[in-house]
Amino acid sequence: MPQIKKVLIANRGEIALRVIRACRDMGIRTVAVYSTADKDAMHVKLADESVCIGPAQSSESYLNESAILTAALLTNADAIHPGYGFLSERADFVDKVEQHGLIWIGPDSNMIRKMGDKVNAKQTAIKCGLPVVPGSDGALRDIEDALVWAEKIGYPVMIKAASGGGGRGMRAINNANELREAFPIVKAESKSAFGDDTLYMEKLLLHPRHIEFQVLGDKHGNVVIFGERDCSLQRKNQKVMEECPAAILTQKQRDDMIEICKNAAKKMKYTNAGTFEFMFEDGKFYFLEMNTRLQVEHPVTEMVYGIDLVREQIRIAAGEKLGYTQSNLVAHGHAIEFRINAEDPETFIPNPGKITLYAPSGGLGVRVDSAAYSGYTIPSTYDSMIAKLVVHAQSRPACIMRAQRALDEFVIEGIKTTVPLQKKLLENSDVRQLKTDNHWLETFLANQKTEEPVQDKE
Amino acid sequence: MSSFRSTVENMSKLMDEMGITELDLERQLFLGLYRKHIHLSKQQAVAAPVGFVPSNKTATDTKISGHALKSPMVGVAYLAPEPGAKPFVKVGSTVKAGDTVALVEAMKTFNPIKSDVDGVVKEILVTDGMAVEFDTPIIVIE
Repeated sequence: MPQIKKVLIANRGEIALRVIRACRDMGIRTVAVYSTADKDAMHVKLADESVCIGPAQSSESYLNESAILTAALLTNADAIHPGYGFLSERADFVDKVEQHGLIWIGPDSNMIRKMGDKVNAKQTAIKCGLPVVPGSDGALRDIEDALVWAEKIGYPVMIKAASGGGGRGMRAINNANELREAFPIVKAESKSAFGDDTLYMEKLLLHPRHIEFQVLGDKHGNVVIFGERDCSLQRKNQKVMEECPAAILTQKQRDDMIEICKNAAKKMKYTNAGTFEFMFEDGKFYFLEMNTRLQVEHPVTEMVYGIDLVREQIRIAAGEKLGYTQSNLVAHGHAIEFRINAEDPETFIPNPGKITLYAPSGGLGVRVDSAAYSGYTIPSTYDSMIAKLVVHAQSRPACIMRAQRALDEFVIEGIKTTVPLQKKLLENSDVRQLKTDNHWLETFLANQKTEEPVQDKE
Repeated sequence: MSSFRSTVENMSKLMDEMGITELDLERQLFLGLYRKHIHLSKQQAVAAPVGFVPSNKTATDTKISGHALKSPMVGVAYLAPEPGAKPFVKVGSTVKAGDTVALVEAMKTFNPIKSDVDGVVKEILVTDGMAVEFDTPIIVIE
């Protein structure tokens, strides 16, 4: 069994710190890599060794495969942890890592390749028994064919151009009359827009929630599924607040889905950490995609299940067995994560700059994953998330109370952050009563704009 | 003082054993009145790189006067075209813009480090076979 004694972390910011901390907890040495813009970054200070791999621009540093491999070889690292983003889902890079005799802390390249392709991923999901958005199996021959499919799937449906994308070449249909009317129009539109009039049909979800299940699999065929995270509060497909568990589910819905996911992950022979993402509407789940990496919101699962997912990733990569089964996983209480971004809380314009004072919240059930410190200058080159506030309590209402306290305590001066928005969300009755879906936050923000035109100061 | 002597001797031995080429020893005497700062440096015996030459983190601390040619990548620096060959330049050599003054190897590819100015080599900041980071100053031209 290969032993991991030194890990190179091919990432920056809070996730680099997260991995460094797990390594140190395990007595593993760490190598940080950094760009010239990050020479004062926390991950560089906390790692045992550090290597400057390139200039500020990500493509020349954090995405520079050969620089990262060279740094790993020169520092005699045994393994590379990619964090999330950057190189975490690049199958070709995983192959290169292994060709150089290094261990990749993540799923194997074939899995990343297979699940990274949308069409392929859906096919695999169907094969493995995951529920998917129902649709016509391929092209709609003509209007009669379309009507038959629509009846079978159930209105409302969406007709889409096979060559379309980015919201173009699609139309929402509520009944048979609308379908008769729209079908020839969309066909003609897609012919002129994409040079291809092939259309297909999918069920239209009007108010889906985003619910996802955490997977862990070892190299010996053992798989466990952790209870779900509800990440429905999103803005422009960016998650803003995540919870574990999804309080909207019944215990039966949860147990059934865990069983389905477990069987699917087993069938796929999934190894290391991953996440099945679903849309959830009217009691039904529909497969969205699979993320073949650690996710930003993994701490909520850690808090509720009392497990260190990064530690598990490293153990699995080293060839160790999980050592526990599904029945050993017990959920305790409720956790919520708040992504705190260096952005204007109303316009969302990034606000990089110097943090003059940084005093994170603390106390029982409060965890802050962040690479910020007083005097730290946030570079404008990278993403704007500067901290993750994770709050854990016995129940969801208690968690909300504690989260309000923790958000009140959090002091970040010198830059604008999204803390005021997070506070507002927690006060909202829709959020408190789970009356939200994936589109709720966008609507809420649009209403805010019209209601409160002038509100510069907090 | 004798204990300090033996410390230095011990460290020196340890460096040989572990293949460490450079080590800073600092000792503060009573009340901080004296400060001994000893820099041990050894000829590197093997080509295998041991530790990185600090890059810009400390490069800004140690002031470099003159024009520094910096490494464009993470890798291993070589001062001669092949082992045992004559080095590209020595301190005092005259160089012209475009002259190769060193090589940096990364992923089995040798990348020439060329001077972008005319001048005289004032300082060579790395030893042959040393690992360098992105932006590590290699040679100072004046």
